[in-house]
Amino acid sequence: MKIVVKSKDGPKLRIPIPTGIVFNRFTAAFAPKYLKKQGLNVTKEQAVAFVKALNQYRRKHPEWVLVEAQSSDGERVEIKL
Amino acid sequence: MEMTIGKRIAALRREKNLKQDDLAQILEVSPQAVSKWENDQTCPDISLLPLLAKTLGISVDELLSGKQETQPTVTYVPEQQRKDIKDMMLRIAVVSGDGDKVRINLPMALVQAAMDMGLEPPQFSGNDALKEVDWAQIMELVRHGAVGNLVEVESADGDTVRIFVE
Repeated sequence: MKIVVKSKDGPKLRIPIPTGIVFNRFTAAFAPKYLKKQGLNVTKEQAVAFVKALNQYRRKHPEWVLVEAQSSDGERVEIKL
Repeated sequence: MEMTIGKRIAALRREKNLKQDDLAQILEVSPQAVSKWENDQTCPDISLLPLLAKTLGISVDELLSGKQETQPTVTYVPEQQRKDIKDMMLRIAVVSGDGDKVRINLPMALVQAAMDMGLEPPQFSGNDALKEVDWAQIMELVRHGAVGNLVEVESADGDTVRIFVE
């Protein structure tokens, strides 16, 4: 994952975060326990399927930008997975 | 802030999942030329504009003026011509009353997986205007071949939310 912050006149800020550490089968196996505390009943199979779908899409579309935000004063933030 | 033509090209190219090299190949120019356009160092040659606009999925007028975002109307795609739902994208565009813009690009495969898990987009967007949206109905429309601008909501505090599928 890469978070890019571009201010109108200032420098760009790039924050790389290794997505593979966050979204993998191992973390997906623990996700249901955490999500249950948030009031969501998710099975391990569903969490694994979600991570699998996410990783497949990332591989197929490496330029995918998940979130693009632009403030009225020209600052831009992009989150790429 | 008005977006420059270069930034518009870069944003639309990324939306189409094209690399600078890919766009350069389509337009038969060098990747360096595309890079210069996107950094507003030079502008594309006028003869390239129709193909550039077509490749980016907008009109030449929209490419040059940037005044109107693409607002496709809802269209029905026959079953034989439909894309695999896994290759489709659901885009949520929020424009706040004070001019801030947020765009969330969610692959339909993930939306489907999230809904199977009992999650719905409002739970990770936090926007009040989205709470009224019937996501199950949107999925149903997409499954039946509807693409384009499926939802447009304007909240009391001036936020505009648009949901479109492509």
